[in-house]
Amino acid sequence: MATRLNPGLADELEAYGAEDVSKCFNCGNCSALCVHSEARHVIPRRSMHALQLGAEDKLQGSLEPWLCYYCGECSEQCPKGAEPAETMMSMRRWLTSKYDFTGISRLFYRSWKWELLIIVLAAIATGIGFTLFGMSQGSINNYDGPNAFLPSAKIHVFDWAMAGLLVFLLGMNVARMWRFFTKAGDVRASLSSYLVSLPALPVHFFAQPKYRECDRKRPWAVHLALMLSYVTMLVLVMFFLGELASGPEIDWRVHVFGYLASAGLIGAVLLNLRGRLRRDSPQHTHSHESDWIFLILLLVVATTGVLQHVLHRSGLDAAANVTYVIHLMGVVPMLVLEVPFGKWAHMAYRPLAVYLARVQLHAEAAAAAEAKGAQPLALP
Amino acid sequence: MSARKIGVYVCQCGGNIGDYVDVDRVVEAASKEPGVAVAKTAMFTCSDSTQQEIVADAREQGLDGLVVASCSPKLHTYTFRDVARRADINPFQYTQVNVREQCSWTHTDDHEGATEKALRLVRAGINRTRLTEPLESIVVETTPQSLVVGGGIAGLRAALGLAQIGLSVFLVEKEDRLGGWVSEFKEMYPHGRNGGELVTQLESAVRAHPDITVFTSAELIAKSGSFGNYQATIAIQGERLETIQVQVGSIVVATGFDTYQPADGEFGYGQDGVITIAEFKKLVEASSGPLEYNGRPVKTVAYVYCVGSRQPQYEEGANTYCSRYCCNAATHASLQVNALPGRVHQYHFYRDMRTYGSFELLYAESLEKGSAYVKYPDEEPPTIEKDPQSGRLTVTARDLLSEGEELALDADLVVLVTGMVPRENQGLTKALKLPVGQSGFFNEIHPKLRPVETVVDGVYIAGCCQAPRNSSESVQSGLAAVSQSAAILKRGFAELDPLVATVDLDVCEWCGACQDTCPYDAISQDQHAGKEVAVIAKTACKGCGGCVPVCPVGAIDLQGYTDAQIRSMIDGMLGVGV
Repeated sequence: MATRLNPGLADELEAYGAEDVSKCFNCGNCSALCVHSEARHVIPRRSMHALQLGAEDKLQGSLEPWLCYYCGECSEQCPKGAEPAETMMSMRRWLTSKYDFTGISRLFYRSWKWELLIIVLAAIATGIGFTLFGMSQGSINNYDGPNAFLPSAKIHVFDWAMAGLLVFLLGMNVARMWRFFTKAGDVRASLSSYLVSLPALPVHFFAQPKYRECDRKRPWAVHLALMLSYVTMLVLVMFFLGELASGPEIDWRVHVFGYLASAGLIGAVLLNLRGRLRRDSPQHTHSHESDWIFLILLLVVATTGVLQHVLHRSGLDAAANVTYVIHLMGVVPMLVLEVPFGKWAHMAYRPLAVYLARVQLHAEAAAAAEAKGAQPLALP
Repeated sequence: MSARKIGVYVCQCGGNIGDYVDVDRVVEAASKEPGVAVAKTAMFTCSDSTQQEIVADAREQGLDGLVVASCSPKLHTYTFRDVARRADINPFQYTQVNVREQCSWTHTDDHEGATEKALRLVRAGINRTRLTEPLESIVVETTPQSLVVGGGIAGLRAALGLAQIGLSVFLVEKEDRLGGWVSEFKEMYPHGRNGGELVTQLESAVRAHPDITVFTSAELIAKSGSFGNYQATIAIQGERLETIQVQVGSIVVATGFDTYQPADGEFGYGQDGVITIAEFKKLVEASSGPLEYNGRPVKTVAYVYCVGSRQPQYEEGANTYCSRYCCNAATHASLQVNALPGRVHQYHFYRDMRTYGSFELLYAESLEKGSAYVKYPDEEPPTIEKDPQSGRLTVTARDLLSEGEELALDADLVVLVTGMVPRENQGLTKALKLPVGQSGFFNEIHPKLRPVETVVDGVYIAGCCQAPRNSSESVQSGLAAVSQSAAILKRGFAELDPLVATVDLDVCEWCGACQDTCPYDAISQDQHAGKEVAVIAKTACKGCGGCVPVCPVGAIDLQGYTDAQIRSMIDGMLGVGV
């Protein structure tokens, strides 16, 4: 079955940040340099060429954009200045919007004004909602205890509801990603292939060992710090919100993790912001509006989280509550909008891509072994 | 003993000869041949030092004959003729013996056999040389007039060039107007100049020149006479057909090309929406707004390259050559499309992009402006299909740069990038006896060293009648033909090799057999001592020797290769004593 070409695809990708794709003359230097490129996954050349040609279905079902971690070496060495690394990034944005069945992602990536507007509106709605909720629950002057403005037990319920929504949205998108992949590559894998490959998922989710294979190690280290801090914070909020919020005495068993995670989050975000402002490395040279929105949102959430804690420990409960509301005004858009529809979604797609690539490899090996075994024995 | 004093030089050609042939044995044997005064070997006979040694030996010993046993006569005949001249040996008393291509290289596995063969070849060469007579070059006075056939850009520029160096020029054009293909072109690459305007400028310069006579609706139908002094017969279609004769010293043939016309159904040709690059260029150049074809907007264009060029050899009458201009023409056309208002997606289905030299910039620019390039396999060209219901054209091709994946593109317009074919020119080919190559284009003598000369002396080829090329290359070859014409016509005379046939008038009884067999019309009937005899025009004879064996009375001999010489060479090879 021939791949039907969409001549407008390269133009479409420009809205997602692709530039200079047409300059590529397919020399393949990029793939010769890339540590992740191999016979099966020719990164990034195959994706570049598919994009130039407009092979939309093929690209839509490709895992390769997710197997690139943007070390930027290909762009540095490209003899034509075709920016393959940034093109891979733009393909990840495009893929994110393709996986998203709601169309929100597409809207966000194609227009930062819409993205910002909706985040601000969500923040305002969250602010009003929690203020009204808080006034119905207790006093602004109480951070914790029986008359607390935002009682942690109830916030906890809200957290879980939000997590449920998030898992649902992301789950839908992940299912679409799987469908695109199996359809485009005509992948037929047995359940055992899926099960055997499962360990790859948590490993690549938590530690990104493939990112570490890139020649530049620093971006991986910063990313790991950010990632582990974030997960730590998530675990604390989801399971230890009560311990985290109660005071004024410090529960070191919980708080030490909170402090470390906060430091990691703020530090990594500041490093990334500084990098993007200074364009200090290839992956910081091009900044899409969505990159700024993401980092600033994360910085707001992290700093307000720390601030409300400090204010509360300092006995300034009213100020702590106001900060808490502001904190939630950041948290809600970040979790409801950025995670399923924005840059955050990659935390699901990247490990999944590594996992699915393994599944495919396993399925093909199994099929080959079966074909070999099925052959009649050769007579001597 | 012979009274001759012959010098024999056996070359080792580095190891090319010396590794397989026992050169010392050959030298020793040669030295014992009658008439041999000097026999030597050298590492490289063609080197300056050995040449000087030959000259010194000749002066010292008073040599009157020279034998060089080295490589093919195609390589160094003129080198050693010149050495002979410098050594005061008549250049036609030198013989080249080929002991490399025809001996050492062919018998690398048999050193003894190769040596024996070299001995015999050298002996034959000595025998021939012994029977040589001093010969003088034939000097021909030349007519300082030139005829140019074809009034395209190459012919026009050649005519002007010939006139500018002071020759009178007759320009003959088959059509009723001058200018050829280029006059129909608008924007040309790489300079962006208008083809029609360029040719108009050239044409007015040609028409204004007092030494150029232009005949349009005219054809060269016959040529007689000999080198340096041809009579050309020109048929001119006016109110009635008339013929005139002109006297010329050289003829420049610049009759151009035809575009390849795809067969019905070839790459979908003949269907609405499938056109050639020539038709497409006209369409693009006539557009000022967004590109349209038959009233329909064109959003996607597919170019299919190598249509009518580089066809597989096993196909009957295949054009196996690359047409050279088409990659450039198609990338240039795609840039013209980019310059029109509206976004048009362009796909180039190619075999190899051959935008050579600075035309690479055209390719680079078209790539940057968004053209997509799909490399299809040689043996599997794209197919073009039209859906009978929707009328949609689909190009399907395998893309080698996507690991052979099959791609399907729906296109509004399919452009077949067609090549050049030789023009139908049988009358002219026959009148001038021009050699036609396998591809149907006229052949030069040597692609590198004699690129515009043909085997017909004084007849030169220029432009696309020789091979596909672009207009600037055509003009270059036109000007090369001008300089070659100047080389024979500006001196007022030309020298020809005296290796021609001669008739012994006392023996000849005129039967006409020689005249019938001569391919060059060099033989005519004449009176001598009260009888009819054959006479050979020295300047027309090419020394092919075709007349020699047909003479029933043995009256004809070929100078430089007389019957006696050939017999002596056979004896030498057989080892029969002289």
